[in-house]
Amino acid sequence: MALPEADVQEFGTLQGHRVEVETWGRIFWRRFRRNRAALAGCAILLFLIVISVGAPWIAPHDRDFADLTKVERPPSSEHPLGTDQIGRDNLTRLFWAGRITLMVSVVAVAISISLGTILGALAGYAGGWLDTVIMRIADIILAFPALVLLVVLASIIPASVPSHYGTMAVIGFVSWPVVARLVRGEFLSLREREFVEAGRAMGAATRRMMFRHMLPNAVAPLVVAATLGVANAILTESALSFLGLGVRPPLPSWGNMLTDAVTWRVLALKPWLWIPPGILIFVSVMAINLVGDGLRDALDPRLKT
Amino acid sequence: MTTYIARRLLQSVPILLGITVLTFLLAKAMPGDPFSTLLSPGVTQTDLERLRGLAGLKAPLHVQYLRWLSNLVQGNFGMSISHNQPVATVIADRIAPTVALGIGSLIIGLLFGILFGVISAVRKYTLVDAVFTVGALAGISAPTFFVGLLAIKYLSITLGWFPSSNLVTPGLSAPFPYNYLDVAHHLVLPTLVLGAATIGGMMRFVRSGLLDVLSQDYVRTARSKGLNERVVVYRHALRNALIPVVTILGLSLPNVVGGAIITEQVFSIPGMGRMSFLAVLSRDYPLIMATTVLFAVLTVAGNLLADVAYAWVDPRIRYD
Repeated sequence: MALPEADVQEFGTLQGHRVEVETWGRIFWRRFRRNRAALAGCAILLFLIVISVGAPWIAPHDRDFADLTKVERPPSSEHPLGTDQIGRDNLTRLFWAGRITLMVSVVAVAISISLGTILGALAGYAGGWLDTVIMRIADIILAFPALVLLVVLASIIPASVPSHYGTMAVIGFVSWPVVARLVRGEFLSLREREFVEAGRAMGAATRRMMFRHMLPNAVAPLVVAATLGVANAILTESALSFLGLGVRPPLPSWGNMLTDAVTWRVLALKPWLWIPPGILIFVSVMAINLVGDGLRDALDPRLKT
Repeated sequence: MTTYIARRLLQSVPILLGITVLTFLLAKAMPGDPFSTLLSPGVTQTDLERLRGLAGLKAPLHVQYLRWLSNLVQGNFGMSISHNQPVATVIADRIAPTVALGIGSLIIGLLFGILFGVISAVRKYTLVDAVFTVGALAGISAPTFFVGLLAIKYLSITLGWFPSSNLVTPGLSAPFPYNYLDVAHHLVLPTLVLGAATIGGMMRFVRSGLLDVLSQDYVRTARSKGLNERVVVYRHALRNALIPVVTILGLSLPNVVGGAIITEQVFSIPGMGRMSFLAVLSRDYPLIMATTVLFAVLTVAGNLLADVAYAWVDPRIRYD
């Protein structure tokens, strides 16, 4: 069978015949590449990451400089998105807000994935009472509606902790049970496979068994969960910040730039203040969802192509 | 089936207990207590300490927890500090708008979600499908508060079709429930906003479920028997595709009561969500603890309902 050259790694020779192999990485990339929506999402995401990471350098003005002579000006050539309630440049705040929102979301997901993977792997592999205890705790946390739990937790954070760190921790803490359940499910089914039995028969230590052998096989749904988790975290963080419980002023976040929009003054008369952050939240979440869906479809073992 | 239900009920007991413990600990972890803000010239620290002792705040933690728990199971939810009314009254006064909002948005989500999902699955790979799929993704990607604000700005302020906030028009003299038309008029926008988010999720679910079912062998059999495509889809395939939707309904039960914090905040609706949010802000501990436990218990009940309904509806599942 002749495979296209670009997707094939030469594996070597076996009795004089060339052996050609298509690795998992190539298969995944080929399938992902064909999903135009996912690629568009990637492009948008890249653009957002660039302006977020580059915010300190590409922002036209200083983030916190409040020029009280220029309060709530409409967009002009000097301030392309106008100025906010105390005279700060809105476009600069938008870039910095993106930086903070994305950072909080990514770190929150990192926390939830780390916690969830460790606890879920332990529960799935060890079984018995450890499994029961961990899953009961996960069930208890999952029994609370997310926003209610977040609101309560966010009010517990002491005022001395910078609000963005607190928000990361809180969102990460509320999200780990979902990841733990996912990983536990994967480990429960992996535990029955032959390679696990073989490893244990050869005397592999539990930690080595879990991390070196089982975890790489559970990575695919984890990657999808992480990507979609970032989208969810962005929505959650902006909701919390909108309510005043997430990232707090003077730190800008796309969510807290919309807090004042509940007043008629800002809502009706100054749309340049709140519409751009809202649109950016929407665009970034949509892009990440597109990429996540694309990843899920490309990594799905059931599809034949 | 009854053994399954009994077993699940028994399993929920430790979870319910855990919920109460966690709620109690969270409330205790919040900085400040009801007396720390009673600062006036004549009040000294010793007076505050004495008040705390009288209110039972000096007792050891587990004693306070057990006292609260025994009151809770007897139906005594305590006295709300910020409202100066029994907690039960506060909740009862505010639950109606939230339930109306929740059920309304659930119905919209179900109706249009299933409709669009079916259309999208049946016309797969066409423009209609692409539009609906992108629309659904947009629906779940848009933050609810942003959509709500946009709705207020364009549908209420610019077009003037709907009122922008609150539950009733001030000055309208008819008491509840005779002002139901006015209330309904006020609830249209929030319900639409909340429903839009539900439609997106439901539509994707129904679409993927229906696509799975449509590729099954028995559907091929039905088609090869010469059955009308409509009959195949609506009478045979859809029923099976809707089984997971039953689960979703059960899981949406807690959201009906507790899920609208943001929408209620944006539209200033005096419902459960807004009340629990304000309670957290004002450190009204009895109210916070009661509403949190209420939401969590509803979630557990919703999960149980979803599982039982799933087992009942799907004849392939045996839970013995």
